[in-house]
Amino acid sequence: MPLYSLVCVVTGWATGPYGDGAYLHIYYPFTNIPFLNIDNNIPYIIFEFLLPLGLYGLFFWLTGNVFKAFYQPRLFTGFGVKQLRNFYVANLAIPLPALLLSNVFAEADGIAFALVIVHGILGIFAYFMAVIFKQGLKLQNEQELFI
Amino acid sequence: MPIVVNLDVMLAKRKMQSKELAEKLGITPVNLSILKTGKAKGVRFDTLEAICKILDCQPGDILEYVEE
Repeated sequence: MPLYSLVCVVTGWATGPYGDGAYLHIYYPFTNIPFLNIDNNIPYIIFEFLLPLGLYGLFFWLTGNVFKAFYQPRLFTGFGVKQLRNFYVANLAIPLPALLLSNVFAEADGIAFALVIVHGILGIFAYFMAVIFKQGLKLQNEQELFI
Repeated sequence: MPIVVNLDVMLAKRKMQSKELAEKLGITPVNLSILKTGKAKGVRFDTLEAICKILDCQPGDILEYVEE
């Protein structure tokens, strides 16, 4: 969805302005049925539409990787530790700077600040999980050396 | 580590190959290699008992303390 929206907004394909050009429809591909309705100005499109959409694309991709780590035949693996680390780093490091950057160019609402806090809590939880996984991996490797 | 594993010596005395011992012990050749090279953190009594039984020896024939 972020990629499709980016292509539409950049190329103008499958888009149509409305409300005297103040707003923009992004249509479903090859139709005239509106899929997304957005403001038609550059700061809004970049900081309140594409940036959150792209970051949530990244968030769900990282979440998928974390779930994948839990579905491995062995629970404690280097792969799992790496995915959890990526997840907590992204949740702790990205939302606040992204919100502050957006706030410079477009007014952020209260829900955005609440989401930053939620992602922070999620990041801390993932950090604990990553530490547990790391310790588990270490103990598992040691245990394998008992023949 | 001051504990030396003399499994190679016993295998040579019994004219047995590592692979055969690993099969009889029910462990992988890689794990047996870890044990032989002294990289193992410990040996389970079950494993030691099986080794002694298969090689017809005493634990002291396999494990030796050498001061560093």
